[in-house]
Amino acid sequence: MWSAFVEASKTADADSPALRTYASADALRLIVSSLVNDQQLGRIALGNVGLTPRVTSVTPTDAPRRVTILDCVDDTHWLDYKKSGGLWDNQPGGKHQTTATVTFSNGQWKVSSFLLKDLGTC
Amino acid sequence: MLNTGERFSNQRRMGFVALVAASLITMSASAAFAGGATGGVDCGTHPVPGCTTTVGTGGGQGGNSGGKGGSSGNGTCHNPEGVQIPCQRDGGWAGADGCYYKPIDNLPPETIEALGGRPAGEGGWYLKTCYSSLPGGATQGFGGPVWIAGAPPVLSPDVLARMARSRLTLPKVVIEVNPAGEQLVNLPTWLSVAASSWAPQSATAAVPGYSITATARPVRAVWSLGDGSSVTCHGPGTVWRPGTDPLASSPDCGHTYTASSAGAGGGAFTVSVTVTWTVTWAGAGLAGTVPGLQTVGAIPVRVGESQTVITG
Repeated sequence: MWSAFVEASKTADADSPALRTYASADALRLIVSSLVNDQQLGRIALGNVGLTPRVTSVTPTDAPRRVTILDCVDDTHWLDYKKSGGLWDNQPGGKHQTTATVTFSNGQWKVSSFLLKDLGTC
Repeated sequence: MLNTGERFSNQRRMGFVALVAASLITMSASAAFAGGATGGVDCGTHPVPGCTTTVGTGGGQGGNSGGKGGSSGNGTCHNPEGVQIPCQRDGGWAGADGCYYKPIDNLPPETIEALGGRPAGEGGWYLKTCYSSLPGGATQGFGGPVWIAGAPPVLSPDVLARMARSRLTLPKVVIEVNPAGEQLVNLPTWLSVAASSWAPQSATAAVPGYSITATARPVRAVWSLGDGSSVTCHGPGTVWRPGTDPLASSPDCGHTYTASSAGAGGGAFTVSVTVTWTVTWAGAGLAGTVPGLQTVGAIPVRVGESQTVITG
């Protein structure tokens, strides 16, 4: 999901099919919302995100349909730019504790929601 | 100047919305994020701007109706606490909730679906941006697309422009082909629409203080001739007049059939034309463009073999 988001954010492409492959429901809504916002403001994001995911729960254990992941999402090198060129602002990126829920539905695993916390939370 | 902070200041808030939406049942999760630095984004107890990034919850919060905020009609704008705020920021206009709204046109279906679908009833999509103060005097903007049901949240010039656009009544497309009646294989057919079908139209929307007029102008006619071919013309076309060489092609919009319509359904081709209009607006010292419009007309046209020409 994150690589699809990183890719889509290079052009603020809210319709990116890859996003829909990896994200659904609230997670997709959140990302699409963010990309539409970028589009309207003339903002893109360049660089790449750092991830250190680890699984914190799997339910039910015998036939998993829901997995929660704890991650430390690092956007130190994934920053906002003006579409016309140049950094969007002078704010630094950093690490954000993130919990994500990955759900099995219609034969596919997708991130269905995630919560990304404040800068410096991991 | 917009200072949005880095990318995740938005998403942190919106992420919270997603979490709350996804797991209101999990009270412990909600409580866990209510304190500390994220307390300000606790949508459960203190709704803040940005919590409305979820479709369908924006209605009633913006708008000039109700609340102390918004435009007071004398050129000043206030937030719900009564503090004067700029009426415009980054292209958006201040609503009653102190956030800023800008209409969004032409959201693709894939985007709308991802946002939860288009709610039923009247309304529109807006980019909602709310600003909060940061230590040091800077401000941080965050927001996203929201559906506002019912009346627009603001009556800005660009919102009025869209209202004016919706009031435009475009003329019916009246098709004129020449020769009149049956067309003939290998004889140039002149295509045109009636002058009334190609006349600019205007409509106005007003609030006390100013009005906005939207004007639609026809720019293009795409003809589908029914024999599989199509022609794009950049005008209404020319009407053939007696005295003109009958073998001459239209100077600007024509087609020459190479097959009869005998085999087509009903023995006639369906000739249709789609007229594309650009819509511009002006008023209050401003001007801009809103999404275009189209009008469509169609008629059956019989095309006979040229040996039927006897009288000339």
